[in-house]
Amino acid sequence: MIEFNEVTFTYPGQKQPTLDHISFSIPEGAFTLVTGRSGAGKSTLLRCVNGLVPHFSGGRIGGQIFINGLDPVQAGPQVMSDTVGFVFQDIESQFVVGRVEDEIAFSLENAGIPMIEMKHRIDTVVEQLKIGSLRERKVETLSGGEAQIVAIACAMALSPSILVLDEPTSQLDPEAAERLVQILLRLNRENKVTILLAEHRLERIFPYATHMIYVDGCPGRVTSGTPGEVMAQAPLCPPVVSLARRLHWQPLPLTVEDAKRFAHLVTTPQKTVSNEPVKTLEAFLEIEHLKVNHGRKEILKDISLKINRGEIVVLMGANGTGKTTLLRTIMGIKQPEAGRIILNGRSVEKMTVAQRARQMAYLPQDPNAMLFADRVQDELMITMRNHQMPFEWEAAAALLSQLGLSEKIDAYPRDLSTGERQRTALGAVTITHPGGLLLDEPTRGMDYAAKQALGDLLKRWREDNISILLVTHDVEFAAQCADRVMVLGEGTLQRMGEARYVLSKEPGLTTQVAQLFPDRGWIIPEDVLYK
Amino acid sequence: MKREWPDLHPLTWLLWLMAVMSAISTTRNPFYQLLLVLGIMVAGEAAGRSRSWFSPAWLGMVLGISVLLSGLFYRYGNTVLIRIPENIPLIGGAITAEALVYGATNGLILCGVLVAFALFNRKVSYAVLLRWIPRAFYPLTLILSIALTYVPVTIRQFEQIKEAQMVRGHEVRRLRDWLPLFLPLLISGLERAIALSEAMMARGFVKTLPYSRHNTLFFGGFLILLAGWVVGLFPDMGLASGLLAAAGFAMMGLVIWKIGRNSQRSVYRKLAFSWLDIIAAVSLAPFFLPLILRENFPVEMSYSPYPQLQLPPFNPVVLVILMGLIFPALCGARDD
Repeated sequence: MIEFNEVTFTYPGQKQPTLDHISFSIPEGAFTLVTGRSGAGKSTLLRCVNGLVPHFSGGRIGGQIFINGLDPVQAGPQVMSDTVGFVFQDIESQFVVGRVEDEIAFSLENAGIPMIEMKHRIDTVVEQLKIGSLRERKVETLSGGEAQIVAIACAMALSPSILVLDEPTSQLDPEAAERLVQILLRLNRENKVTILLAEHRLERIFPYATHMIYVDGCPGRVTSGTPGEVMAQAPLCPPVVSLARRLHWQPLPLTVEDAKRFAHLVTTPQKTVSNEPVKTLEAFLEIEHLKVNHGRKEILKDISLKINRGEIVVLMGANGTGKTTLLRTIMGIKQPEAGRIILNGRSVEKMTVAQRARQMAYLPQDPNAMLFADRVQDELMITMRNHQMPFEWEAAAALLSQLGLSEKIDAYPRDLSTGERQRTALGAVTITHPGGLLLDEPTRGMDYAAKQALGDLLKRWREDNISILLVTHDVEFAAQCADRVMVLGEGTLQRMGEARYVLSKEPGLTTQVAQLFPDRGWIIPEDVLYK
Repeated sequence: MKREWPDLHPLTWLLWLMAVMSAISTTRNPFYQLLLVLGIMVAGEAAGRSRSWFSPAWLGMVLGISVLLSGLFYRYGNTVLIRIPENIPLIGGAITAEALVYGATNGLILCGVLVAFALFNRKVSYAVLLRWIPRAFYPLTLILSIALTYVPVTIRQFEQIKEAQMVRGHEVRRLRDWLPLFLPLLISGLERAIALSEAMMARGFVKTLPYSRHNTLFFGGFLILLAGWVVGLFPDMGLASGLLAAAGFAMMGLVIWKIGRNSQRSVYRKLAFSWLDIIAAVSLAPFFLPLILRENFPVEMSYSPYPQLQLPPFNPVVLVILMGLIFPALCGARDD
């Protein structure tokens, strides 16, 4: 049982509390989804459960917290580690000793568990999570999905009755995310482990969640209850819930399966309003028979594609299929074995990375790798200085305004939320006004509102004739802004076509709306609602 | 295919490394040095191919650079191969065959050290080695372990930062241009350190400090040891000095042992010696002879190409002994 009673928490040096008189209770064995805007305090709330807040963070805490009868504020995280297993958002940073089996043993060694008992517990966890084949692997060789499961194994080693996870699927492709959710479900149903999981992509968790907590950032309050109760009021919701609300379906369906019984109510064939086909067919980026190796391994075998001016193309595919490699090759960071890249009518063969970047901006996955200046506006200025171009404050202010960062121009970039950092980095690469843009997983860690804002911005840039190639696992985001979708697999482009077609037909890549209304070519709520 | 018998104990591998270093430092005979390098290369190939390994081309490059540098900068030797005009600064003068052979010997020694450490690193993880540090020093062991875990992560992160800055048009021309690469690396490193300490706390790690009584006793032991050394400076005080030093050592050891006993931590991997370790240790024994024999070592082990180049001596018995170095790598599981 998890019980919060009038809990208020304020970080050191802050005036406003992050959590303000919050109260809720979660019964034993619940599968609880925690959601809310980025930076609203979800991670803070999760850290209260095992005492990391306030023991590690510092700050002032008020109210009462009881976790299976223990008070984590009194007990501290070391004592709570027997009761609460914790999986952090940044998996790479939480491994200590480097080898999977030793990582799992780490908590047990700290607890002074005798070796025979330790071996038994490790065998049990390995069996539960079915990771026998990973036992002897080094953690640095694990894929994102494998590393997440190993992190869960580490958290479960002390057999806690509660498992807390902070956005565990944010870096996984849909298939790996589903595998992870199934593991959590098994732990919850078969081993009676209470799950408390923070997540932005609600559609992944709704089918399994029994409880939900919505953290509202502004007043630092929470709404809790069953997912249906909470979603009736929550401002952020997945497409199927958004559609159901606007069509006044009651009781409010949360999943595609639930919504199917209302689908027959929408009978009139409606005009599709998803992104109009691209107006111009003038190519901005052309790739011909591109081959890229990593050592002796062939990553990209024979890629040919064309991106027109004023077009948004989304590139999808499982983790490790070479999506990022393709972007890096276009930018000249990785050298191809064969093939030709033509940018704005010219072969890029003799262009430096900087010359390419002036015409085609590239936003890598991790914005932290880019940001180091003291202020947001300085990040833009540094890019202009690098390119030996004059910095015009008016142009920078206009770009920051477009990016929704007008209020943050003097903020320290690394203090911003994930979405804001991503937009700052986007500003830093687009201040040169390039004709094209490559984006690698730009929606990682973003809530629905931030994704909507980014999608709107990209569509505005498309209107300005900018060509965009975007890598993402997020099918709903792809549906929101893509003109065309390409699917990469086994080093080749396996599918390519209009977004409306691919995102309604391709198994594993169909949007919620497409699943609800198969064969109608609708992929976003607006397609259904348009009259 | 995985072999049925157990892998060697890390301490046996440590012994192997010491044996190789002893062999390398014993001889400047290029034949034997070459055999050593080839032997370790064979051992490396036998240990599996799952991880990167020194390619012959890479070692050839090391050797080539050594020969080139020696040829260009050493002016001794009677067998002149070519003369570079004297007016060319630094490299002007005679290039001798003796200098080239001298450079080749140095290159082979360097290659031997490189491949030996590479193989040792492949067979014994640092985490396993760190387990042999007494439990009293556990926090230190953990810090070392984490630092070593962070090396590949930091290298990867540096590459990411370099790429991210490149696409912003960043180029390294001056010293200050390194700032955009190192500043994000430093900040990310600190952020990662904070995230790690939070994760360790959540996984029940408790920093245990030894009691102050232990600190006092340890310091006392050190003072007794120091006193032993000071007493040893006086004539005819050898016995007293030895006794004091032994007492100081014993006291410090006892405190370390006691702190370790008080630690509540348990250890998951307890490694045991097997019969293979004994066989390996026996095969390595001849390589420690130089330490015992010292100046009485066979003269053919030493070789100098100067002043007149001669063929180095060669004894087939040495070849048989060198085979002992390959044996440990042939034991135990392959890593692929």
